[in-house]
Amino acid sequence: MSVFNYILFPGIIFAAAAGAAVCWIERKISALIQFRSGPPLLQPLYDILKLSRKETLIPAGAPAPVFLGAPVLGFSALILTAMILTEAGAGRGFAGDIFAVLYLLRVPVFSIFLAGASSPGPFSSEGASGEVRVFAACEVPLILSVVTVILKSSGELSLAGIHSIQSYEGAFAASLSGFIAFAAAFLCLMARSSRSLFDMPSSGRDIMGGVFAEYSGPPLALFMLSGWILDAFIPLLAVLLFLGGSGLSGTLLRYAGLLLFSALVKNIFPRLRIDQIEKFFRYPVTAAAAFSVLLGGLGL
Amino acid sequence: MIKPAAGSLWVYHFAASSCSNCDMEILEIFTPGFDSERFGIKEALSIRHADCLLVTGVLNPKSLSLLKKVRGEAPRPVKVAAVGTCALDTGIFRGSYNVLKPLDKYIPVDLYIPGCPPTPEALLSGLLGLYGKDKPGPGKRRKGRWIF
Ligand code: SF4
Repeated sequence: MSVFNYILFPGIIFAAAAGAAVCWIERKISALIQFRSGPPLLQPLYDILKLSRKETLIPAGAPAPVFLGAPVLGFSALILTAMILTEAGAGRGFAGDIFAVLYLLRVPVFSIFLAGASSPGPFSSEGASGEVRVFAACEVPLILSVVTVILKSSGELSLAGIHSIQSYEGAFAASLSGFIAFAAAFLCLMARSSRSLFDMPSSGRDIMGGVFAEYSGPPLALFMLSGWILDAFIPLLAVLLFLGGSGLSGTLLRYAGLLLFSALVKNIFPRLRIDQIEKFFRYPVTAAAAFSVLLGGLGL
Repeated sequence: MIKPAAGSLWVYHFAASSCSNCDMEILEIFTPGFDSERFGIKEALSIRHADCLLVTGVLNPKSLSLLKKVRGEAPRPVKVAAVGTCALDTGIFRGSYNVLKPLDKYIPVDLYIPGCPPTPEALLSGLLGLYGKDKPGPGKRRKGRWIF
């Protein structure tokens, strides 16, 4: 890993560009569903450039290091996640990178929590507590479904390895236990990226942008970029773990299909309340994920 | 005919005692029919995200003090648009006992959108005129308030 890798490919520039592209695709799909023409191709870039020219306000009473450090923390963790996932998609990787990704995906949650907790104001605290509650509810089923994948690939611990096993054994999602684990993990990952049904913690209409209500200028731009990178790379994680696909084209095709599916879900279903999300993940989804571990252990 | 334009403008809606028709016309530009998103115009829900304040209605002492407070909380550069005849020159409420002077007597206004209420087309073409302009609004960052 050289500086070139960190900055250009598969580092900051690549991850941000992929995130912006995915953000545009989703906004365009929403627009087409609502019979609009939607934003121009470079709209994410305009948004970021505009925010980077604006003033950074630190609300009175907010601890400035935490308030400004939170977006940087989340962003850097997501850049690392994006780099590991891109490398794994290209067939390189290291044993245990699956745990590294699971660990790194927790960091943005804490950055959002820090952001909400350090900004004074009821909307931010409300958003932060919602974020943590959703995180706590969906962590267990996510780990259980990853355990199913590891069982099914007979102990393979690298994402690239899991992906390549599926290219000749068929996708894990095609078997019973794999499908249940895939469904549970996909829901958890959507909740983790605060998407569609699960975007209550950062909802605009109800709590004025939630944790981001007090952010302005470049820190807000960093949070937006982190959100896009999360949106872009979480489907890739699901593809690597459950859908397989031989070669770059097969992987990309599955990735595009999953992206389209989650964009449709986002536009069709209304958002859930925090307590509904919690109940949903704590009981049915966790039970399904545990069942998939059992089935996976039996070899189904 | 609205010229295609590119940019990003998040508008914040401040209703300073309007008759609420202007407010409905503002909401109209976000609907699929007018689709302000194709020009990058979105609704900012928190004042910290705002690039432009859309002020509707006539000012009275209470709403003026609130408006000044809200404008102070917006990150610079922030534009102010006077929407509707009321904000422009107090319109049909002129001479009423609690009505103050028009908006631009109190704070600098970058954009005047006349009409009672202005049509969504007028709002959109006016807002698009803000792209690429930095004067004469409070475009300067305040000293000591920004980090990056
Ligand atoms: S300008 Fe006309 S429509 Fe707008 S607030 Fe005033 S009276 Fe109402």
